[in-house]
Amino acid sequence: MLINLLSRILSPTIMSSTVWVLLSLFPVNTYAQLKMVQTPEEKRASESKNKKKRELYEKQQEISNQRKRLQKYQYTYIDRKHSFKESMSLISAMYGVTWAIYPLTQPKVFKENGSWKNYSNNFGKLVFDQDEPFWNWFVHPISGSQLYLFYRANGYSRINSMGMAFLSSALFEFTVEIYTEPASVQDLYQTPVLGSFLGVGIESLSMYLLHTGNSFAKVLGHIINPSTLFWFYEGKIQIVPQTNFKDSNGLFMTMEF
Amino acid sequence: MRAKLKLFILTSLLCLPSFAYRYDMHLKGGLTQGYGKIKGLEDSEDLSHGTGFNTHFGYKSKYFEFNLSSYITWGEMEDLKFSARDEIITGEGQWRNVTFGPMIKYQLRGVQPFKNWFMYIATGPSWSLQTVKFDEYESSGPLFNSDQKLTFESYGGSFSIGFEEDLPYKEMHQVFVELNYSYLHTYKVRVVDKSDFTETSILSEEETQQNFSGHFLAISLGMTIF
Repeated sequence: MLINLLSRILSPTIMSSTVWVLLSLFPVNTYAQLKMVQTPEEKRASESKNKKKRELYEKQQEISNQRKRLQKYQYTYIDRKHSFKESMSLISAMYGVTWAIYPLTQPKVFKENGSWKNYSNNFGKLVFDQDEPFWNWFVHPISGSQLYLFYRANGYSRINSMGMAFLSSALFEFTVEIYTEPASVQDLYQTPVLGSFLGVGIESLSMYLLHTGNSFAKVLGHIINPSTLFWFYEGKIQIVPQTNFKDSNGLFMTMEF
Repeated sequence: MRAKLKLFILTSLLCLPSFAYRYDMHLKGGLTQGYGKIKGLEDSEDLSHGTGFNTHFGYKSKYFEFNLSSYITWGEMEDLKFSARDEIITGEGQWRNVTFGPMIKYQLRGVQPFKNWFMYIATGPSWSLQTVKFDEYESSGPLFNSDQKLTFESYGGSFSIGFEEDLPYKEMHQVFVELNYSYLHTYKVRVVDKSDFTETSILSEEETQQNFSGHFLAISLGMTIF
């Protein structure tokens, strides 16, 4: 990428000549250039200060690494490309899960307001719902964040996870939730978008907790990001120390995807 | 000769390779401070203000950007006067505003006040839902009470002007600052029972003949999240 960028900058000879012409015509950087000029003493003092800072930082890093608990697993996210078939199968699986979860989580609403007559009446409708903030700004973003984290666990990049969460959420709104109420503009947008915002935060927090190595934090990390517990999570790397008990030591890392 | 040199420099500058990220999807978001003025019954002017956040999910081409945008603010509304179920209600209370809309945005390459900061303009239609929960109110009839909230459904258009960083990779989390103006016309006013937050019960729904309209200003500051 850097080489590509440099080649784009340097390849057109016309560019370099233009830059020289411009620099000679408009010497606007003179003040900045003057400020950058340092006396040898200033330069030495600055270098010495930087060296001390670097040494201090390296020492801190070394101490920090030594004080970490030994871990069997490393948790991360690895983005990869997916085939259309794979994406469709994941969307289908999630669609099936929403059909199962909706009546289980809201049995009263499902029983009292739900009917196939409502389904046909609500089909294709899009309205502003009048729900309380608890639903629109808490429940739906939480659901969206878990959708996002499900796709992240399956190896999608952040933006693609959000796109997949958008599709899953839209399918739920237009073909599942209409059993009880029409699709809502707020839910359609806020579930994947606010969910992804929240998802990024949960992702970072759960990775931090999982890497602390203690049982409590690991359990908490898995609770807030349950997708890391399942077989489809691709970012779990097993670390096995290897040694010949003489002069050769190393780490053997394995991951499945 | 001098004119030729100027022309040469100008054309060379126009051919500058762009170092910003292009042709990619993104999610942007940040904080918003919003102000509103609704022209209600008998030309009453109802003022509102609130703080919240903005989100923009979209695609960036070379200089154009296509976003699905939202502005969400919580705050207060003063001196609201409206009519529902043949009652005139005046009061003040908590105000929530959610505005959605597709926005088309264009980066003005010629306006660069600071290095890598370019001006942009954006416009698009908007749909909005505003909710008012009254802390204090006076009603001309017996139907309205403190367990009820009022919602306005509006549509209109919005226009934004702002400045945004243009950097090689979106992972550099470009920052933007924006001023957004929206004009919204209310087409539906509802009175909703809020006594049970698990259930939504719409008590009345009126296609507005009250000629409600509003001007809204929002100042936003945000960045590219991913």
